[in-house]
Amino acid sequence: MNNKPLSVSQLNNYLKSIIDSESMLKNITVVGEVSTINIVRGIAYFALKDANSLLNCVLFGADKYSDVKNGDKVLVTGSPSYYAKGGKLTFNARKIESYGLGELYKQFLALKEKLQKEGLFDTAFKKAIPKDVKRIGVITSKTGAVIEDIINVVRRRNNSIDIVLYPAKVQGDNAENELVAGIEFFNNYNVDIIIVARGGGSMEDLEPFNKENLARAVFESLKPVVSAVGHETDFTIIDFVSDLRAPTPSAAAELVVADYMSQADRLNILSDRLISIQKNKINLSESLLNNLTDTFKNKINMLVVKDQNKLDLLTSSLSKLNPANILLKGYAKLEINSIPINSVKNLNVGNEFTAHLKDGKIKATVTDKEEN
Amino acid sequence: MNFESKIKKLEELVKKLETPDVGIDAGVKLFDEGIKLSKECYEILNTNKGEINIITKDLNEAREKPFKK
Repeated sequence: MNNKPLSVSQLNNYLKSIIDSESMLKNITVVGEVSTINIVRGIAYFALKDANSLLNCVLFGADKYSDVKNGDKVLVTGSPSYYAKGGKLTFNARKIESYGLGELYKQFLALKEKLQKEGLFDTAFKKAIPKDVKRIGVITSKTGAVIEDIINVVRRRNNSIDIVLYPAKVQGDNAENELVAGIEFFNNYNVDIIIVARGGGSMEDLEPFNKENLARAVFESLKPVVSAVGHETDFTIIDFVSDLRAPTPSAAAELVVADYMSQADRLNILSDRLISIQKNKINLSESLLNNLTDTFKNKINMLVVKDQNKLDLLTSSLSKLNPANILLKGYAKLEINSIPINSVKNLNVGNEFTAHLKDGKIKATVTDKEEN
Repeated sequence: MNFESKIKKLEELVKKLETPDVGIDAGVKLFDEGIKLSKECYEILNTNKGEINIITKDLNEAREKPFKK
């Protein structure tokens, strides 16, 4: 700590240099109630106060503010300045607006009403947002978070989309003309949809988006225009005339780009199911075929075995019936002229006949006959 | 047919294939169609990388150049 005393001038100049160099204090808007206003030769001297504090203000070129009176709640825009000589802080005001219904806001309302009457906001004129967007034209600043946000959201949702940036000023003089040029450019360029975007800001910052020529360019655009200006609570003229108003630039990207990436899981599940169902179907058919083949084989086998048995039986019966077998037991077969004899009636005494035995035949003559 | 329609179609094919009365011949047909769709969907997801470009005006002639951060 420096104990050497400062002169008043040193301290006041130091205070002045701090206040003058503080960029946060440049061009700010203060809300308060007007008191002790006095306009002398075009210079307004007044104080701005709220419940607890007071701020001395001065405004040059005050003739147009002759209707401002004590007790008015106003917005005062300017910068504080410290007067070293008098040791006083004064707010150098540039502009006074009535609170809640500032000049810009009045203009905004007037233009809104005019365009509404002309039908520029009618839903009948709104173009549909295409379902399968391939190329997006974005009109915004090439620096800053807005374009980055849009790129990130688009990439996260869908790898295949092309983004074409038309760099444009989004605040200040001439900004609206650059925005209009962007819309006209994209109308003759290979994009499916146009996003006009800007991050949040004060009403003055957003002013280009409240301009009539931009509103008309958006209305006349043959390609769908999505507006994404400021925060969710900010409404500008372009939001009413655009085909779709997105609350934020990121939201615009979400509204325009189909979310393919979240479908990747669905695709995996579907593909796996497709394969497993088909596998099951093939397995089922295979086992069905195997079963049928087995049954068929069994049936055939059974038939063959049955026939075999029958054949064996028949063979054995047949062999039993073979007359040769009877001859083995000592019986003889009698014939006359190759005609079998089965009765004594067919033979008379003196007849000659042939007797077949197991190993040959003999000729014999009937010498006696006796009928039973 | 876009990605969304392809996925939907694939879902329908899987459902159809799941019904027991679809025989092996019809099943093979559905399966082949499904595999084709699935392949196309994966291609859309994985291989088609879109471009990020910026319009620049050289001597008043507009050109598209890669947008670098």
